[in-house]
Amino acid sequence: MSRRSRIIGPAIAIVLGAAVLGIGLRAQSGKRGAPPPEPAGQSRAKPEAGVPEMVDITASTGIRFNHLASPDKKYIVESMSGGVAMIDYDRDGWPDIYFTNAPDVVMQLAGKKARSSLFHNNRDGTFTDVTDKAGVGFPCWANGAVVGDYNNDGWPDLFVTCFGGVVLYRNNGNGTFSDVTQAAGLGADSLWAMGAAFGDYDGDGLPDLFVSHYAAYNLRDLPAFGAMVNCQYHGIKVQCGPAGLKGSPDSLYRNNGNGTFNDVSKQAGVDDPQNLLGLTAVWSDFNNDGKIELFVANDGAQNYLYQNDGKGHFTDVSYPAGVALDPNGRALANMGVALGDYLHTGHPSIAITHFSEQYLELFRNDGQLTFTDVSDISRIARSTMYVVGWGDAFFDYDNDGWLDLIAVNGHVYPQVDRADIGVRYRQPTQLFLNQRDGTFRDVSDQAGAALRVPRVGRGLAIGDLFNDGVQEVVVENLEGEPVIFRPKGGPRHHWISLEMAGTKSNRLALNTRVRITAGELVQTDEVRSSGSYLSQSDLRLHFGLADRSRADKVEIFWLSGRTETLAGLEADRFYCVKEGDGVVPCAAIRPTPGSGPSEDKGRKQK
Amino acid sequence: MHVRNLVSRTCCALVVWLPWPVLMAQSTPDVPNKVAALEQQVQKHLQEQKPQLAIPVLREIISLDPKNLNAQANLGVLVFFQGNYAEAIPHMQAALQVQPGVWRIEALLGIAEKRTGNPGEALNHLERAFSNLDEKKIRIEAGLELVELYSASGQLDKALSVAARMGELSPQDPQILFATHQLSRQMMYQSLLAMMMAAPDSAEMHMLMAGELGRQGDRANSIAQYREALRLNPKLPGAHFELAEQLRTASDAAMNAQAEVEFKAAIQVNEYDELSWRQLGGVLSLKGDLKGAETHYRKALALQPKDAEAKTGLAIVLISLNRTNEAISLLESAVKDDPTNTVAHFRLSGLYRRTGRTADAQREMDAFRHYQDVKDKLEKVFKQLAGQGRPM
Repeated sequence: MSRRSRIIGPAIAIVLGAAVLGIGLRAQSGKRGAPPPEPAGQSRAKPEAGVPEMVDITASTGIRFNHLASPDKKYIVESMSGGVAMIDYDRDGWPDIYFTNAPDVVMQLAGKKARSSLFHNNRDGTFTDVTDKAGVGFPCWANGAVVGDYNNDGWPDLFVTCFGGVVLYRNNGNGTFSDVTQAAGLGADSLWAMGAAFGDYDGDGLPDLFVSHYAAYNLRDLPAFGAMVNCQYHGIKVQCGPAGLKGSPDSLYRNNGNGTFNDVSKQAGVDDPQNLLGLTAVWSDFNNDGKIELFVANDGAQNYLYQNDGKGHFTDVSYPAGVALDPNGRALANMGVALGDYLHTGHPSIAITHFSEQYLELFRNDGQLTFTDVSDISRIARSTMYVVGWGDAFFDYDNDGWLDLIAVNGHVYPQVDRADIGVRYRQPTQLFLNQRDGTFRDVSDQAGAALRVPRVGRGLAIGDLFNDGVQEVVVENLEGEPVIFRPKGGPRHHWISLEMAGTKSNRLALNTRVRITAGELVQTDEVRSSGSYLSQSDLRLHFGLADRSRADKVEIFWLSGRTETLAGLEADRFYCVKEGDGVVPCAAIRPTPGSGPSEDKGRKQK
Repeated sequence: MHVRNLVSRTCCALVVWLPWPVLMAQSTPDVPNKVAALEQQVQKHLQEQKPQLAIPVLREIISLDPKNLNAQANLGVLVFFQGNYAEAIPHMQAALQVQPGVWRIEALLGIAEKRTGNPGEALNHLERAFSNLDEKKIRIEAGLELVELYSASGQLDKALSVAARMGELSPQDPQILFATHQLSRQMMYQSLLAMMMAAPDSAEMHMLMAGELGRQGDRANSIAQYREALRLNPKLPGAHFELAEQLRTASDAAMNAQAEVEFKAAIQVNEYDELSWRQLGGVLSLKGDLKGAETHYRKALALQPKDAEAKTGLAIVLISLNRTNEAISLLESAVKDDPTNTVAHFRLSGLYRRTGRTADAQREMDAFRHYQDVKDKLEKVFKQLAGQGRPM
């Protein structure tokens, strides 16, 4: 489909959708919107033929946001924030965007706050700041944000990890949120929280919540800048840590089904008694056994891969699985985590960003919870040795049916710019194109100038912001404004998008897996909370179909154990799928506006 | 080198078990009755751990019988451990005059002389004592004093020789390890000073400076000094290799790329430079030139068949080439050659697991964890050492 055909008004789209989709597929066209104008002549260097140019469309979206940052980053806590979450908080089918913000130490000690921001998607390529109305501007010293529907009412809730605890914002269904942290039983968490992920580990249909904690850190007893060996980098005085910092334990909160959570970390065996420096956490069914595992990336230490026994207990299998350390037994920085079936094996592999002089590590999932580090043979390692990587994600940026990989970078020490050591504070974004043979091609220098602009990147989220079949990349930078990348020219191939809703499974269908077959293309993906670094991507599943105009078969593996198969889904459409009912009008899975918790208690919980 | 200020606990313990009966046996047989009675008093005081009461009695014995070996020796020892080295010396000398070859007394005499500012005599006595003593603890005490004397007089080769002999006696003794470390540093600075005086503009001088700068973390200047050394002498042994290492371990892509050139230059200068062959193998492996890497690793192993790192590097290449069995053999050999090679243990564990050898995999993982733990502790100590030595 040409770009012109997708830039149509809502009314035409509905008519067109009805005509095209027919009776068998009660599909939702999703009101395809007008993408924002692409900046003309932005790239002086011409992108290479065959490599779609990524352009920076931030200015045209109207998003104005500044992540605060002290200039010198004298303390590690000032270098770590910057999460971005795509959350369709009003359930209109258009992803909205939430950016976290954090003060510096001086501000915090003076009682000053940093304003996080929620931007409403205006469905016309622009966004409006609705933070104040939504009431989500000042949760805390905010690090990351993830999305889950803890009360299964169909309204996605927002969970913020903080330096000093967590904040759970319940979505009231009327454009506002309420801080229900205390009421939900999460108020006792006072540690430095970084990663978090919703996931129904016990299969009761209720999303549980895991929080990974970083260091034990006291703002009134801070390690002095540059004062010790752990506060030097290549002989330069820098902030202290993470080496030398004492870590904090992690927490698993089981959803009680009544709006509260219960801390089951210890009994579940995921409390991190080693007190490692926890960063990104993500739930996934790595071995396709219907029970979700938990992967936790720990800074400068082993990762955890917790295998779920289905009875409420986990075992760390990271060493036998081969994901604890790098293949030489080294503990790397382990910051951002991307999951994706880039090889079409049916299993999600893991890509982890690391510090400079390390490399972006790609663990190929060989099935049965065994992984192989293929960073070298995939040709990713060599390109990523000189950057400090943060948010990363697999996504099909050219809709060819094969997942590509993007990572944002940026150092933690501004001081490196004053020393001649070969690394810079601001670093370019990197894009790797899937070569469909287990290797990737670094096209960062061929995909236009926007990617090459050096930034201090942190969070990264992926989603089709404009519902036109092409996925945008939203990046939150530690310093200054965020950036939104968009493949120029829109989608070059066919695609399909699925918005899932559980009935027996949790309402947002977290960790529901989908296998989609289009001709010889067989892809799998999974709905996931969290991932990347401190971030949340669009919960809808997007598949590029290359030149196939339809998905022949869509198999859905709900977390409840139910399997559904859909057939003959036309390409270039958004579909809403309800567990047990197949494709339905989207209104059937989205709550009615205004039917928030006070009016609609949501689906009966167990 | 700092002078040790206190006699160690080992030496202090000497007075307790310094064999009084042995010394008695060395006394003259025609002792007057009064002396015999006094000696009994001395024994009683010593048994009761009251040396301060024994000392005046011993003095009385000596006033009655100046050639009483037993009294002279024991009085010398007791006042030595009271820190009264000046008084101890004549008594121990008198004892040794009566009966030479009491090496423990001679060792203490040497130490006392050293501490009373007579290094020449001290050296003579300690050399003799150290060469003849059988008892390990007192021999090490004498040896440590001897090392300090040699070191202070600039006789570092002799000091190192003594340190080496002590190391054979007690390889884990921190005092000996520390002394050896200090001597090595002293040797290094001495040679640096000599080089500065003798050939300040030589290629060797620049290479020395480069090494020092590299150790201090000043990579840019270290590289500049290596380059200057090579400008002066393009065939300076080891210079290309050291420069390559600085380049290889930099955080700069351009520098890393230059490392390969320098390793190749090192091999051109000396085709038997096994380390350069090995490191070049690593560089090529990183570039994805697996065939080239294999060739270079094999060349290194031909030159040094027991190089565990080369075996491990080659095994990693073979793993990438899916030649698992060959890789396993190499890694098994590597951990035999160097049981502390954590990379080899970890890789081997992974390969065993993949080939279904679960118990072997666990054994290697245990070995990995053990040695990794040791390395982590060492690294922590080194970081602390570096921190203490570095101006903030």
